[in-house]
Amino acid sequence: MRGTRDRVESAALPLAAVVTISLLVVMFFYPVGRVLSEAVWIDGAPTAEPLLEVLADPFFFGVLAEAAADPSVLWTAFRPHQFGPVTVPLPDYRLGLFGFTAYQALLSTLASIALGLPGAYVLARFEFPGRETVRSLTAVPFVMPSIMVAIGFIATFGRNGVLNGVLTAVGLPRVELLYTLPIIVLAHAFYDAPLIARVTATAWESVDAGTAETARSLGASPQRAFLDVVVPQLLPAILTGALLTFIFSFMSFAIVLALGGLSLATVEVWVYHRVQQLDYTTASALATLEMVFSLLLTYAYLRYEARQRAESAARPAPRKPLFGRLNLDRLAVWGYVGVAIVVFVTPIASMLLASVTGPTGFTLDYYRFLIDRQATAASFQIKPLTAVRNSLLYGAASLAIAVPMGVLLAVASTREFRGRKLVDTLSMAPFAVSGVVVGLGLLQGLVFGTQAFGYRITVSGAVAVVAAHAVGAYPFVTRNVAPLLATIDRSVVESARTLGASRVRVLLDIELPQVFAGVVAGAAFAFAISIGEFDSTVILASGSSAYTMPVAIERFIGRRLGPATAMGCVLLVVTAVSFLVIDRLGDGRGM
Amino acid sequence: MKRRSYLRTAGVGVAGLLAGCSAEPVDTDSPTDSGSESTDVTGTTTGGTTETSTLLVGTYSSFIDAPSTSPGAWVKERFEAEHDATLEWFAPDGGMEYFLQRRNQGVTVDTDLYAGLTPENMVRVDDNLESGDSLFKPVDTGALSNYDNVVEEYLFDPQERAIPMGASYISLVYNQNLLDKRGVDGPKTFEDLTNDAYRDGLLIPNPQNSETGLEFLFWTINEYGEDGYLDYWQRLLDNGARILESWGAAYGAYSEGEAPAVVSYATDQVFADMSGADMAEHQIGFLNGEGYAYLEAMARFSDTDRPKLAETFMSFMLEPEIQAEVAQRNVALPAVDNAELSQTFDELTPEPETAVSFSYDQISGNVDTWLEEWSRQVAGQ
Repeated sequence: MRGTRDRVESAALPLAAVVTISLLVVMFFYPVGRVLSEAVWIDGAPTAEPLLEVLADPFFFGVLAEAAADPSVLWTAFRPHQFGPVTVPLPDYRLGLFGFTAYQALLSTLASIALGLPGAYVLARFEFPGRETVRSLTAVPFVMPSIMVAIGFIATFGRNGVLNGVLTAVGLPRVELLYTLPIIVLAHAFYDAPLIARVTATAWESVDAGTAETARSLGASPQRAFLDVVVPQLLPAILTGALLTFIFSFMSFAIVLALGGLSLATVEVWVYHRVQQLDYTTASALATLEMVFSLLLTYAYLRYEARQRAESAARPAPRKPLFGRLNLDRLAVWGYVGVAIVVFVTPIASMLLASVTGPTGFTLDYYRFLIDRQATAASFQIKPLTAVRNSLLYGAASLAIAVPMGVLLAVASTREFRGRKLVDTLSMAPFAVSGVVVGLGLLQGLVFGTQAFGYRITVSGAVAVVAAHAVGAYPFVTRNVAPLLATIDRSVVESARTLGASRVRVLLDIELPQVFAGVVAGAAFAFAISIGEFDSTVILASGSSAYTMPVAIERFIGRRLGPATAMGCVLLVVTAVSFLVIDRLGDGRGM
Repeated sequence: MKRRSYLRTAGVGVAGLLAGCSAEPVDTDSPTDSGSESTDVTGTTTGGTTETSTLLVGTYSSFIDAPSTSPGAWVKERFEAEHDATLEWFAPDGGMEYFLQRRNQGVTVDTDLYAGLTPENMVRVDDNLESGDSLFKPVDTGALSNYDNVVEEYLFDPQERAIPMGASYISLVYNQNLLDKRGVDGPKTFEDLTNDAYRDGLLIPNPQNSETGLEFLFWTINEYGEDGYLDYWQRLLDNGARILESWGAAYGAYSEGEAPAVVSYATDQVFADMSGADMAEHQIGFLNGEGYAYLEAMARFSDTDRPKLAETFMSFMLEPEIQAEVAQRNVALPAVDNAELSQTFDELTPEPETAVSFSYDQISGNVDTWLEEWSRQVAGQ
């Protein structure tokens, strides 16, 4: 018996590694590679021409491309700029599509940090009824389809939106936010600030109260103790969130076009545009540069992360009650709650409202529409319940695949070997590659199929959707688990191995229990990725009944906002409940 | 022999969960006659008598599954009742592009016919086909019933591969309630849209990924010429016109009162009537007395092995009674002049004095250039 178990255990890790690598190759590296190769491989020979062409085009690279052709632009572009009474000569450099995309991503990251950190503070340091629930629900914005966020944002920040209604009511001037850069930044923060809040809150909860107390006893002021002792321990988490936010905002596409318009186009808009024009060469060149940029950032971050060795909390600081005498601390928190209500709650509430508002006021017609569809839809039409069922099944299945995959890669990344950083960086690739390119690769490589050994092999339908979701989701697990794994004392692991425990046993019995919070957090976001995914799903599910809730929402868009928003609310409720369940199953040990 | 087993998965979600992978032997003699997208382990039919009478028709998704009304189910029922055949719909994401890509990737198209083809779809397919014959096969129009009654202006394919199926007009839809606050009536001309009275007043679906937006772009090129349209668009943008992600995003923002006008269709009032909306918010604006005719056609794929059945379907679709019903269910205009529509429908679907539309030859070879020039100007702001 003992021998069999040992053999199973010793085979488990290599087997999992083979499965993980196969899945990555079939669902990601092969389909993406065959598209991206068009940028560097033409007529059977390697070439750098498409990449150079893009790099030299001022439309894409602005002043950098201009300066490469004629450096004088660097000093002739200075124009007098008026700041109140003073005039300063500043350069009017052209940003180009890449420059603008990076700029808006940077602003989005800063905004997400600004909105996320106070949230982390409230979640980690205050006690109030429903705190656990609020923490579970932070992943909800993450699953919302862009069209829903657009509708919610227009209803909140639009010309006739809630915000302007309040402003005019109190006699303040209206604000025109729609179709400007700030609204895009805010929409990105809507998606990503909760992510930063959650990741940082977890780190904050594991800051040992003793460290700050020691600093205080040595004479540091509370501010000093916070800056010197607490902040350094939060920084890795904040930077993880910031990196993900930057990459997501850098790759943003639909929300930019829906709320900003084409004048504020990002690189990804152009990738899509070139693909539509069947110009795969330029599209691939653009996507390759996007990917290289994102991966370089990831690499830089991972180098930083490797130098951090956070300690697990022996004794977290006690939480402060949120309700109590109004001091400066609580006042600031309540101010933040007000902002959070405007930015996060109002758009979602507006969507709920839109789903029950008809031309003549309150109506349940749109929910009746969903029930009606369920009852009468033909086989080639979308049934709401089937979409709900599929989404939940895929979410659970993706989670079941992405968690072991992500943990495995996290384990690999804590081992010392040459090229480890490279493997670690590559494991983030699913986040760094253009969604448009992934979709195109899946269509051409899997749905249309690939010819091999005299057979045309095709992959589509539900299994393919789950595999694609798992591949798109596991980096969250890896990024949540790897930093925690690195904090585990290696000598404990080694003693266990010396005493005869298999590697799998050590992982299951010693390592995982210590990083469980990270696993649950990764699982929640993996689930969220699966539920919200649209681009790949719509391609792999095409022509079958393997569709999901976001696909149903897109199908229900019409002259009336109602049917799509009603389906959007179903998505919202279903995912909110799922997150609560995941966190309960995680036994409250999750973030 | 052609495999169509994937059709069986429609409505059989569980079977789809069991298998997602399939391998088909490649017939080296005819490279275009292989492949399948099977997701169904039970679908092991290998051609034969039961399959000869199944017609697989590709279309865009709102033709078979729109939240308001769509003709797909009705057409299937009627066609199957009148003919001893089965009709299966297939609406891939990406519409026509999907089929072009299949062909260019050397995979069989597997679909017999496409319903809802626009002139620019056809031009794009012809311009971008990498090898082989046309993706579509010409039709002997003499054999089609009621073909003589097809509206002549709707015929756009010089090679007679595309048979008109329906039409609608691209126009402005405007909200008079909002314009009343500005003290103006609906815009009447292209120039009006660049006036201060209509500042920040127009939402346009992105021509890069919306057929509606693209045809609006064509309309402006028709008006201002290839040398002048970019200048016109600059003035339009300077006056606060917005180009939004898709028709859905533009119409959604319009519905929330974000701007008093949107580029959409002259059939808008039919939908407003269905949902009991305020008609003042659904006024139709033809610019310079024109509307751009959005044309839809049917075309047979060249590698169909059911050319006769496909032709039967086209004949069926041209019958006056079918045309009338499809038009009303699809909220579009019939392609023939002898279809009788209800008076209400007629009243709710105004037509412009002049119909504008580019011919196949006008668009051919130009779409990519126009769109690229335009895109660079707008996104380079």
